[in-house]
Amino acid sequence: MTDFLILLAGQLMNGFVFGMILALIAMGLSIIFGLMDIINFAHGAYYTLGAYVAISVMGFFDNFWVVLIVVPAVVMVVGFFVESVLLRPLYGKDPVFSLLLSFGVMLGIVQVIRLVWGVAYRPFSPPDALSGSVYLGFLHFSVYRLFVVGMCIGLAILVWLLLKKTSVGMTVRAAVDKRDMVKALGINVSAVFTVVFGVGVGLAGLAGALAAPLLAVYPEMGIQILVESFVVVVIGGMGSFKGSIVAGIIVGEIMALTTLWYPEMSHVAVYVFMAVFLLTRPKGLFGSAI
Amino acid sequence: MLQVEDIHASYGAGAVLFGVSLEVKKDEVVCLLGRNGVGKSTILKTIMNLVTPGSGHIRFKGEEITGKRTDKIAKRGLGYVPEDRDIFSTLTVLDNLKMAEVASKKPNREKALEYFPILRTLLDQEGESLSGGEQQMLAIARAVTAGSDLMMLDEPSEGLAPVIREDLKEVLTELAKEMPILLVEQNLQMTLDLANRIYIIVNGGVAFVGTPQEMEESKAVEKYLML
Ligand SMILES: Nc1ncnc2c1ncn2[C@@H]1O[C@H](COP(=O)(O)OP(=O)(O)OP(=O)(O)O)[C@@H](O)[C@H]1O
Ligand SMILES: [Mg+2]
Repeated sequence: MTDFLILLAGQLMNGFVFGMILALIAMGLSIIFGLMDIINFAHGAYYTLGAYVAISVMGFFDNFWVVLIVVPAVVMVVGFFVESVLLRPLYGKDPVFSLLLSFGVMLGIVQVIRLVWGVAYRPFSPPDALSGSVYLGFLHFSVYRLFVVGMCIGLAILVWLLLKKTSVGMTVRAAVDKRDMVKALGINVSAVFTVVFGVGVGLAGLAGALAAPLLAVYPEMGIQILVESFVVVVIGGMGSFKGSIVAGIIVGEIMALTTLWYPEMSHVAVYVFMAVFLLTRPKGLFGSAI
Repeated sequence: MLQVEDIHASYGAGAVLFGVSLEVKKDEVVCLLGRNGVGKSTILKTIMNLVTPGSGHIRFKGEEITGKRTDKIAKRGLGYVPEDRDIFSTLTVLDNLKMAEVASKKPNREKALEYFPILRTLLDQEGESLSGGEQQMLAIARAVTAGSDLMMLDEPSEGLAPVIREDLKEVLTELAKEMPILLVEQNLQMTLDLANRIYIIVNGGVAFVGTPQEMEESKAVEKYLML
């Protein structure tokens, strides 16, 4: 193979890795919006929190597997608290309130991170077992990146099974579609809200932990990725699980490929794509279906 | 069994109900008639607390349910088939019915499928792929599956072909043997055939109450229903 094709293949792989991380974040963002009508501005902050908690847990236990369990659990508990204590009183009120609250939560979390962990960039190396690279027949590729892809695919399948095969998942899909009707069948929707919010931000936290060895860890790291995740949600269709994954990969690849030719444009390209895409499909790839 | 006393309700600044009182007794089919936009659907929504009543009282099986959470009201045994059917479009027919079993104390899917045998052949189809008539059947089947003690249906015959409308009338007649029904219906003949008592709603209030016979003998139809 020519050098260029190898470079291209490597970049496509990188785009896929980043796309899957975006998908993991966008999944929660999208379902929270579809179910609860909340534009969760703090979603990127939970991702950041995940990265920092990962650093601390790693420092304490020196075991990446523990990190992968503790991080989503911690972030999920924060999510449970935010949903049940702060957001719940705002349901049924003007959505502007929950929007502002999410904004406040975002600032709050970032401020807490600055106080606890400082403002400097923090290095985070992949665990030894996952460092180095493998030869894929035509290019060397980082073991850790492959691991991230595997984890993201595994998690996506897990979430899909939860949505499709469990009674809670069925209720979530029904409530994304017709929330009042779910209530009218005697189901307490607010319990479903808490679960979905907790799991959604827990996934963002886990994405932060997975991304920490790949991308720079700093208190505002969640802002850029939040904006990109919103793009993914919009392209995929608000409230659509499938859409988050497909659009995540599309956005990841667009960024990776523009980086190859015109790095300065890689972020802009995503918005241009979104604008053009929305002109042709205003409801996104999958409308409002999960 | 269901008593509504002097309820007022509004959407934001726009008041819709101005002191509606009505009652559904055990073994009764009660129909609400009225022109478009007079507030019939809002009455049902207010009973379910999908629209919060500004004032007034709603009692069901002797207990006050005014302002209670919608899911708690439903769990107490109030079944509801909304006007726009509200089928879960991304769920299969079977899962639509299962949704009614999640919180039900005495789910009855078999009964629902006896009423609408055609649904048995559609169990794996997604809600959005059904025809209007099938969706209507599913909406009612779902409410029957929930095993309610009183059923509220909002214009179930709307948009149905005349043949299917006849089937629906039979099902409602059967259903009425099992539980009281509060029915919003625009179709005069259907109302006359099914109802024990009729309320005519005009501009968010009750303008007439009586039996079908009393309604026919009075000028109520010409006065309140003709355009
Ligand atoms: N969600 C809403 N927001 C604001 N106004 C509403 C809403 N729903 C209904 N209305 C208004 O409230 C009034 C009563 O509506 P409602 O749906 O209860 O009437 P209806 O008697 O059921 O009419 P129809 O026979 O057309 O179903 C109407 O003027 C309608 O425009
Ligand atoms: Mg109506």
